[in-house]
Amino acid sequence: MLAEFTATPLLSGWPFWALELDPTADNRSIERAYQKITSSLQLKISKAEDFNTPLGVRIRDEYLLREAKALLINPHSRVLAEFWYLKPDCLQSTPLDKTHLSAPINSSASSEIDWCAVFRTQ
Amino acid sequence: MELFFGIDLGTSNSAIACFDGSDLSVIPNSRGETNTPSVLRFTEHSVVVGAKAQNFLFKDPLHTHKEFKRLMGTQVKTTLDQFGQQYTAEQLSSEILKALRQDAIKFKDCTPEHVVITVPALFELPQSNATAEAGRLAGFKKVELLPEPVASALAAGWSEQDNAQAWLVFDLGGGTFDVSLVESRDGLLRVVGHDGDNFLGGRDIDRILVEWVLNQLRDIHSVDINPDQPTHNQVLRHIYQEVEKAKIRLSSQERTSIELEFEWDDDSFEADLIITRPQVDEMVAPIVERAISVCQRLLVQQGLQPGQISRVVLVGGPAHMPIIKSRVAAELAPIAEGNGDPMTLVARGAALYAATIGFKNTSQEFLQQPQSQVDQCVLWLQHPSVCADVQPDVMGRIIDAKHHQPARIQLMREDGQWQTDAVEIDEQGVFFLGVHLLAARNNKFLIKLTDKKGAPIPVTPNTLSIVHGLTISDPPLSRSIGVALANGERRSFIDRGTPLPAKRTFVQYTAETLVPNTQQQLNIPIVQGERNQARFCRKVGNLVIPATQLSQQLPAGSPIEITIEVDRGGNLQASALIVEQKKLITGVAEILTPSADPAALQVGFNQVQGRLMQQQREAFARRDPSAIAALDQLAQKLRGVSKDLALANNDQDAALRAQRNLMETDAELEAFESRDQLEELLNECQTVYFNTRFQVDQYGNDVEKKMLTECEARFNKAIELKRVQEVERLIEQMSSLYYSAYRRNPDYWINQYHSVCSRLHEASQLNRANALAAEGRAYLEASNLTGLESCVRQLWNLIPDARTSGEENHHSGIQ
Repeated sequence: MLAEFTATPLLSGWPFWALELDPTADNRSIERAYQKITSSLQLKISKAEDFNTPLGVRIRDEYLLREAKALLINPHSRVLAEFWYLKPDCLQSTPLDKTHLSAPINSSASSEIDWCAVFRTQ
Repeated sequence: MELFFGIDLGTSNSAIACFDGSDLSVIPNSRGETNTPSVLRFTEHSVVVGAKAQNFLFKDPLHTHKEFKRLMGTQVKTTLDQFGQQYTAEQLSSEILKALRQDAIKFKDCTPEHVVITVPALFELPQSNATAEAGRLAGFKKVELLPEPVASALAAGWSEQDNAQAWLVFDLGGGTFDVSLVESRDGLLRVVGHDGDNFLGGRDIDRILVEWVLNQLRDIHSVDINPDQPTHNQVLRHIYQEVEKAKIRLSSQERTSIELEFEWDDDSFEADLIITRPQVDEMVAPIVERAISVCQRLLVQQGLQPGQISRVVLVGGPAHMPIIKSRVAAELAPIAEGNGDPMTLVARGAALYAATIGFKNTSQEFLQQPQSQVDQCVLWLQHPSVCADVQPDVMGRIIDAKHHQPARIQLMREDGQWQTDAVEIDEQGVFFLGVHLLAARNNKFLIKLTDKKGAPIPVTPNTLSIVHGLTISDPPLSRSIGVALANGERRSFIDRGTPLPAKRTFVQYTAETLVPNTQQQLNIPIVQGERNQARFCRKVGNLVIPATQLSQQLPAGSPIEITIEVDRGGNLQASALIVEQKKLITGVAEILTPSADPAALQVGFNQVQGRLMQQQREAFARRDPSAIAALDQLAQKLRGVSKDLALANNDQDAALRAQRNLMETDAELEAFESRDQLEELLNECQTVYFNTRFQVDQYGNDVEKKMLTECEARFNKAIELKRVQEVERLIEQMSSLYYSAYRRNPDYWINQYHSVCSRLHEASQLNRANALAAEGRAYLEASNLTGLESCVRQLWNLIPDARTSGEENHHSGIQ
């Protein structure tokens, strides 16, 4: 997945954005969307690489799509994706903090507080 | 005709299967058998594979080889033979694959170039890589690898109608054990999870039975055969061969005799040892229990009880021993019936998988058909080869129209019962069609291309085929892959379970300064495993940035964009982009399983044993029965390691097993030792919680508040269950929440600036750090928070994380 998606749980709904689906999609729709978008990428159809997210347009490739499909057909990971799902255009309609969504957590920041020093994750 | 081939390259037996879109068949070898023993014999000018070679295991052991799959991916070679040759497991495997390929050429009139070869689910990258290379050495142009349990699940589920049911595939092969939890839903077969043991198989059962035979010979016949004595090897091979035959006979009869006949002390020796099924059952019980406990571990991981499993599919010869069938049925679920020959299930699944990924081969008959290529319009089609949906989509593009002007395209099903509308081709030459499939059939469509006036245009390809049937999700990565960091931790790049092929990119930072044109080099060790500490993960590769390739100095803290990619064939590619110098370093060295040096293993063994004894002493002093029981289990495991270590000098397989089990025992012991840390961790967790609560209450949004409340509930449960790992995860998550809320504090960057300045003396480049600190002060005085943030971020990268020793971090140079 894109590194920025791992930075916060708020972006756990990313597989829906990558496949251009919403949480009502069933397994068949997921498979169809996956086939259609990967075919479009293979055929190099213009704009097939772009997809909308609350952070703006991002680039998708076959790896990202494969992972998105795998996450959505697995009931456990799908629950998480559904729970955190945000509409790709939500930042235009609600005052969500975009900086917060996109800002990765820098481990070195933890150095100021002793109790965090041992839990560094870059 | 399009054909799809799949090969089960087994430790004991191998098989090749073929799927033509409708029929799935196993190709027989020249003896008419569907299974070919994975045994080969070299003569001066040729190689003999299979049963014929098997007959020479006893007579010509120097040139006859078996069970080499267990050494795949290692540097171990066979003993120098009389022809002056030595072979790796990879080369030997390629000979088996060549023989199977020849069988396909003979019986299918097709030269397979694309093939799917199965590997045990827990094969690590070096082993997978070696298998793919063996395929290429055998003449296959493209090789895809598939985990064996996935293959057997696909073959077993292909004809099943059950929906949304979970079942287990219990695959006890000659050398490895794999178990998979599988579920089929909406025509998609999904491997929910798998587990296994790379060193548990029929051969372990043989070894136990051979030990029994050796004891019998010593006690009753005064014949003392020593497995460590090289001069006894030939006799030992004979005993192994006879024991295996007796084991197979005991699957259908209650008692049998092991007939032995060999030269001993310059005399011929003969003995018939009677052995009964109950005796064997008793001897192999520990192995069966070990396999069942792996299954139970998998069910626990997936939150299931044995009662929730509908059936168990048994795969592999040893899995059909009566004791295994009865224990599996009693402890797990009823045994599935009607899946055809269990010995060829894996090969059949591989052939089906070849179809799902469109890995087709064309028969000679088709290739010899006259092709009228004159001026055909060329299409590029995209559609699934196999699909569970009866209405899949077909997309395509005109890639060479020649002099034609195609305007519309239409697909007609070959049975004449259905066709699409004539769909318009857009200005980019792209078209999109939905088709209707007949269920459970190979559906062939004729392609009709026309111009604006409706006149037909010759087109290639002029047909396409889609098989309606069960599809399978992409094979998951069996063990997480990541990089070792300088502080001894591991950063996971591609997590276990990620569908393959997979690719991820992350930014890390150099831990030391590299000066150009020196002998310095920066290591990026690539490791595979689930533990957070790098030393418990297996190093599978190393990406090296040599200072000689740098155009200018690379200061510590410089960003390096690292990309790791793994394809379905287990090939690992890694690259490092030095962002500031725009220099890309690619390739991975050391893709071999490190050889298990017996002397080094002994040292490791002594250390683990010492720690274990210390823990045992303390547990006895505390009179803690649960700790004593847990440590007892570890001691038992360590005894197994000790046994293997005794054989390690003459048996590379035993050495590898000792290495793997020692590593696992070490990891488990460390987890046990960390139990004492629980109290300390709980205190820390509480502190983290109070700090996070303060920040979230002040600056957090609704989502963060909700997440923190969830953390509270999990914290209480973790205390109740004393779960160290869960507490660690909670601390990590709450720390993340803390920062996500804290970042909204208007003084955040000011505080960070003061904090990082207090550690300036630790900076890798003091001058640069001082300059940045001065720059930051200026921004602070001017209340320019954006500038301050930039300075702080750069300073963070100059303050190193604590480094651990080379052994613990695989000599990593990144943080």
